[in-house]
Amino acid sequence: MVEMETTVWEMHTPAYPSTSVLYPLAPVGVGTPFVESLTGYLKRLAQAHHLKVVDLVTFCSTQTDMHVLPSTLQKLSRIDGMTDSGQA
Amino acid sequence: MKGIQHMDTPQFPLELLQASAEARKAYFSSKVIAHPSIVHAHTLLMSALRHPTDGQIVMVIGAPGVGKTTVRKTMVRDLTTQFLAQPERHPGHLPVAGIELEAFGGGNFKWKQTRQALLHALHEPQVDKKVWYSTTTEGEHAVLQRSTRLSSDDLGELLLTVLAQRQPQALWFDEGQHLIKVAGARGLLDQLDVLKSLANRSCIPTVLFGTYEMNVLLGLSPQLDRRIFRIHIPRYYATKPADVAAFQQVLFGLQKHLPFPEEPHLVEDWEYFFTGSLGCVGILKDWLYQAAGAAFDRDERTLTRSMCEMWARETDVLVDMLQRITSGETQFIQEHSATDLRTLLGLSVTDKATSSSTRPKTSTPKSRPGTRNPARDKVVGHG
Repeated sequence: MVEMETTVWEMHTPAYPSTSVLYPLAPVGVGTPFVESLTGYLKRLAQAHHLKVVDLVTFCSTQTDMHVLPSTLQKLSRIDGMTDSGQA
Repeated sequence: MKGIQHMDTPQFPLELLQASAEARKAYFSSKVIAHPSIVHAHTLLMSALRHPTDGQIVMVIGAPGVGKTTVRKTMVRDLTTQFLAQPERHPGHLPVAGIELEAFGGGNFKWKQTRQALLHALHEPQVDKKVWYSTTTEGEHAVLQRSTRLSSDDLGELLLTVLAQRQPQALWFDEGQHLIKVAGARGLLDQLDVLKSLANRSCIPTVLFGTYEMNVLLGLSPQLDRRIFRIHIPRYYATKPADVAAFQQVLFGLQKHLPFPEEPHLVEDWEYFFTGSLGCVGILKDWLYQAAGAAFDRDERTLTRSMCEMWARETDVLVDMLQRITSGETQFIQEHSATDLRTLLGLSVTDKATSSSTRPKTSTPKSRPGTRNPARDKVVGHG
């Protein structure tokens, strides 16, 4: 006699909303007089994500309702500073 | 069929009978029967991921429609569940990530696009705007440089930094057979080297799912073979009673979850369904899904064999598929016996610890002509 017991797999993968969109980098020097400035933090965050500061902030504005003025973006490109070397 | 008991209560929610054809199809599609060959592969895979060796590549290999994608989905499900169960998990970590490898036009595999797809799968923001920061020294000063045009190798380095941030438990690649679309044996070796280096440098186990076409990636170099842990998902064979029983169980499970007013009697015709699916459960399920979908549209009371015949693959297609599968299987399960290995290692041919049960294929020595088989002769006095 064939034993007709079957198990059904539940294929639903649970959602995980808690993963941070950006890497959760901690600011340097918190609690000391040498605490990192917002500009410095923004620059370091952009570097960790391999992005220019402008592109990182633009991305953040698409994730929220925040609207970034073109003049602000211009100022942010100054934080980016250096000119790009276009190597292949 | 003798010995099979049909339960009167359907296993699906009765309100489905009033639901749309789409809802009934979706319900059937979501039901995955845990049959022995995928349960075994899943257990082995999860165990390999729990105890990974450095730079390990797990290769899950099997015929098309045998259940590789199901094993992949259950792996993702389980790793995600485990991840969520951790009481204090890092907010930036991901449970698991992976992609289906693409078949690129022109037949050449492209790592740049593959790496970009992987970055998307790792939830990276602005993948097409990535830049590469590097530090050089000019005299006593360190100078930060930034390049906007990234080569495939740059993307590889970038991927490693992303993996270090996200730390998934495993990195998976489905449709692994697309990896072999490169020119020459040297190219094949390079493909595996890229994967090995990714697994090695990121310290994240890599799982490669694919068909027997991936056979060519095996045996290329001992160095790489050492890293590869193979998991074979076999199809069911009509010659093995346990396989036949397992196939009938799957069919039974599926017929119980087909939301028709009358239960279809598919198990009675198991040989027909076995032939049409070549013993591959994925092929069987797709076939039943299409046949049942058409029957739902016509509001049929049940699914019969004649309704399934319309959706069956033609015999010549099946023969062709079977030939390809069998040749892949034979290539994969190489006929070198344990005896060959022991001889090569200079050990005595018989292994005392593991008796003949591990080597069922060794042939019994042929008797000389004229010698009687002792079993034929009655032994007097031992009645």
